[in-house]
Amino acid sequence: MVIKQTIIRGINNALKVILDLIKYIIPAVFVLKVLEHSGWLVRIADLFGPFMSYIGLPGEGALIIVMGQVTLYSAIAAMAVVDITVKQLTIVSTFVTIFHSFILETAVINKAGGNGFMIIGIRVIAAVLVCFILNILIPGV
Amino acid sequence: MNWAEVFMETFEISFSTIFKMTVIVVPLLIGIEYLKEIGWMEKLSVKLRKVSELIGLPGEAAFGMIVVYFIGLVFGSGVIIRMKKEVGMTRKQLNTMFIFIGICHAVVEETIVFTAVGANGVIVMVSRVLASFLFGLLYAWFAKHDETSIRKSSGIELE
Repeated sequence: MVIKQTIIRGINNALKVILDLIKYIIPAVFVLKVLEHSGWLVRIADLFGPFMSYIGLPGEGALIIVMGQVTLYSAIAAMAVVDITVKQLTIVSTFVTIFHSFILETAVINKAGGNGFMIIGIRVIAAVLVCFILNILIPGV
Repeated sequence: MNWAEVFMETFEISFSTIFKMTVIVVPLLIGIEYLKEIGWMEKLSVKLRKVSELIGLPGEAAFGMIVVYFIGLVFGSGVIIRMKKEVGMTRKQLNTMFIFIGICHAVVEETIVFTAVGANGVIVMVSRVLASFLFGLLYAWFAKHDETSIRKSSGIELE
């Protein structure tokens, strides 16, 4: 029966995703919590704050973007740890959905015959530009 | 540093995040599986052939792009590699396509997941789609170089 197999396949895929979540979220949250409790989160945030402010993000936004290079799930873990507003969440989500997992995806694109390095460069430019515009367009903080 | 606190907070945040994601992702993936079953992507790709040709890509590219847009880059690259063998795209066409889908892929899953953590999903998704069209079109217009066919430049992949 088609429907039954469909649901089983869907659940199988979902289980894989949940395993991925466990694999990536727990270590990411742990690392961030260690940074937070040791005072390094604030230091890193202060370092990146001036750059991040162009796209309306606090300095911690840099950590979310870096985590996004591991997987999007790690970025989500970072978003759950860092204290940010809805506007900032929306901006940083847009940033990491446009530019993430660059090592893996560059490899995939190169393998498929595209110019992975150029494309990742364009993605970074796109992410910065779009978030810069969003920061102006979205009202509030 | 208070390690007990670190572990407790790690556990709490991880658990609540994973739980939230699970509740959202499971029904979603079953839904996508169902849509695949009824062949909606093939149907949609027939309609989008014209759009694909408009941006200088072969009409056959529409299917590969739809797969990647909705499902994801890693899985979709398999479809693209197969398509490349059948259609024979130029390097420029291939790069145009990868700019589109590099900026914007797995939109359903990723948008919903980020909505779950509190972002405005509509804004995230619309920005991505617009950015992919903007940069894809810019590249298609400005990259005049390299119209050599992938078939000629990398014959090995065709074996």
